[in-house]
Amino acid sequence: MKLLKAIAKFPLFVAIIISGLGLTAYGYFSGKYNISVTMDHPILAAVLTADYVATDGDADRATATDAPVATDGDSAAGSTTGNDGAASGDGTKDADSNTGSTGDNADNNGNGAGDNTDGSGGIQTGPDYNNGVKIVQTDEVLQSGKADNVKAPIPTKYQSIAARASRSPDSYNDVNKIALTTAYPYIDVDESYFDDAVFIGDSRVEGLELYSGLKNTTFYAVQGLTIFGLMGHEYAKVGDSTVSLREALSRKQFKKIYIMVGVNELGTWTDTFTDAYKEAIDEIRELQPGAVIFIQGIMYVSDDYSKAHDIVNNDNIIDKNNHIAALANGVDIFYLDMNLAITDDSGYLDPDLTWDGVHLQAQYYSLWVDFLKSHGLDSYMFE
Amino acid sequence: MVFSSMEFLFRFLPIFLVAYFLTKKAYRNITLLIGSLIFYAYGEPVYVLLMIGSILVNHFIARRIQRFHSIEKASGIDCSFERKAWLVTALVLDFGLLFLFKYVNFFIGVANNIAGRQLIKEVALTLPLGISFYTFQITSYIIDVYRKKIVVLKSSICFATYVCMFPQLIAGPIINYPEIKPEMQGIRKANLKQIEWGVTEFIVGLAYKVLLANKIASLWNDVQMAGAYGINTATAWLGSWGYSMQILFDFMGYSLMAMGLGAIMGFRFPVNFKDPYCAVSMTDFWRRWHITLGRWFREYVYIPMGGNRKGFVRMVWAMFVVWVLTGLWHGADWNFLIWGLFLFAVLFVEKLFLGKVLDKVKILGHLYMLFMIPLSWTIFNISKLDQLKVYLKRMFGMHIDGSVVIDGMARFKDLLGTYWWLLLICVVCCTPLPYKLICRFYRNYICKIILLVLFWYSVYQIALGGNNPFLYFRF
Repeated sequence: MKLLKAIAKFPLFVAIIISGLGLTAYGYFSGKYNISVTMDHPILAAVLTADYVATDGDADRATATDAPVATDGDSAAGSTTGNDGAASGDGTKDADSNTGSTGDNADNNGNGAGDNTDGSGGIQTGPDYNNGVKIVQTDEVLQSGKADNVKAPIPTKYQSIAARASRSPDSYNDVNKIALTTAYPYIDVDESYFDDAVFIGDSRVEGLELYSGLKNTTFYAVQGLTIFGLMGHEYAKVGDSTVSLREALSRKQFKKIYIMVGVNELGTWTDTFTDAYKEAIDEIRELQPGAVIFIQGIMYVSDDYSKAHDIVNNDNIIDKNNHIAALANGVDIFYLDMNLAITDDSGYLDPDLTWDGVHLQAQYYSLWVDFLKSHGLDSYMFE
Repeated sequence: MVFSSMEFLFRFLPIFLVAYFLTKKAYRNITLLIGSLIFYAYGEPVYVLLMIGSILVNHFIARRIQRFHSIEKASGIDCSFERKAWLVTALVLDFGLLFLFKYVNFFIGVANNIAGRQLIKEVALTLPLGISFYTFQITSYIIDVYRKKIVVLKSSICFATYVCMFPQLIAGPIINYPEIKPEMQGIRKANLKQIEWGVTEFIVGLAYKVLLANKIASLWNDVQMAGAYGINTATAWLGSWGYSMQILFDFMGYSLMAMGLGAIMGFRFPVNFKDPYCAVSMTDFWRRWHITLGRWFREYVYIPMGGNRKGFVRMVWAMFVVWVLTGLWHGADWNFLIWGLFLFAVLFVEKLFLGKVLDKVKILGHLYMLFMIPLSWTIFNISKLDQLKVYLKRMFGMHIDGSVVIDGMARFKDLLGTYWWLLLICVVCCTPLPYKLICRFYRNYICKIILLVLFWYSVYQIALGGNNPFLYFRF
């Protein structure tokens, strides 16, 4: 009785304790929660090992996460579409040098001529490589393309990079190469080139829709889109209705189809992703026989963001890009890596161009548009 | 360790409370001290030594000053020089450390900019957690000792506990020692009613932080994702209102949690927030927002400089110094300096004539603050000056080169559609209503059930992740 009287004086406190103990007991006995004291335990790891994620002193509003990088297990779906938590990245103490993920470009010779890409092992820098918008093309490449006016297959080439182990072996492989934009002698085009083009994709393509300034182009994009929902999910606005891509592509014919998806399903195993991508392309090919499909490589995230996440990181993006790039044939399926236009010295998304590390800010979509305008195909490719 | 995290709620706090209540009443300060040091060391395994060192040195100096007081009293010899010397030493040490860790890189940057090249190398130091807060607490203690308001004990336990107490160490109210002296130096009885009230306050603070602040943070995130170049004026203001709500519930929630924890242990902490968004003028606002900081500046800077007793010019100068320092206290960057100057300018104008008008016509005051508050927080929030310039231009409908807005109102309607209900709840919680309701009903069992549900729902949200860091954390 005395106990009950005492409890009556602070029932809320007691209620919390009892419910807390109850929940713990439930978790423990149902096997969901086990007490393991090992050196891997996050608290010990945080204090003892070099993986401790220290916050920068510069941002007075810095993120002070308590978990080290190694145990950050974020889920792929939806974690990048702007609903993520604080934007500023954590700097890790391990300063591993990223030996470049800036894909090389059409500096490679086109059809047949000997190339200089494989085995170089580092970032392509120097007078031909420009971190900005204009991609320099050698005269040789331009001449060889124009002379032929013939559609010949162009296999995708890769540049070797220093190997990096996967931080989520369930989602992606170790990476040791980067896929390069299909080696075609691209021409400069203007806005009207995109009048018969359609852009399909996730929230980043949505941004392109809002801020690119391309007025006569069609956009079928929605936040959170994945390759698995690409064809059947209803997000394509046609007139007053919203239909599936399958439906939209059977109603109207396009000449250029640009696709960028992947950042929302980075947690999926790469092979599964690639198989779904191939299926989608095959279906699009059936619906749109006269179009050229442009697979856009998934845009990178910023270096800080990548270091702080085990699944949504640039290695995973590179792995997936490598696999979908292999689907390109240089005849009616091309691989375009727009990352060249938005990277900085780290080789990844320039932090000055983004606020959350994942999306470009409104005024920088012009960089992407300029990239697309400098990667137009000659008219004979659309016959 | 953030209060709204699993590590704190379900590992540290239960273990600490068990240890605390099992300890004999006379030794509870030691338990609190040890627990607080562990709490701090979790986030700052190295700088905890800095804090301990700082405490020991300051305690020593406090005792020295005290000693000269006694000598003076006993023998009549004038020791004011020695006392002042020790005071100055302590202040130089304490503020020097703060300057080193927080401001030196900023000033090096300024020097380098003026010189046009890398004249001095920047110092590679991270900012220790809570240094801005505990430095101010320590210096308030020393100054109060000098002013003979405090009698320093031989044992440093009480002083150390006062500085380190984990509820207020990282971001809590800046407590003056005389406020809690009876509780600190006396025997604190575990008052069950006080514990219950403490738990109530803690849950409300937790809910404010996790359910309101963390959620409305997405609004500012969404607006900033595209950036000022891609939004219209209405969206810019919406984003700023969202951020204003975020910072209020973040900080107020944290202060409430600190007060609740203090109450559980038997302390009565000073109130830090009194419905700040119900203010009618900026002057009124700063009597309701972060009250303990304003109090510190008033007691130790404004009044010693003369306050409003030495003529108009003196008062204006004192105000200027206080507000520049307040701005810089919040952060070592240009936008904080600009923010401080902005506040000074507004307060000055209010002092001249505007304040009386706003106080009289309350509705005008509220309307005025509806725009001044988000404006003030926008300057506070955006550190990059070029971005800040663009955002402010956007807020005032000025033309921006390179703007890429096609259909700004669509975005505005979209955002409003997503967040209107959350903003409405935030607005209601800005008023005195929730506090009045809690005070009236907290003994009611239905209220307790609601609080219990709120607690577990907050925990659930924390577990889901996306836990926004506390904005005032690196202080």
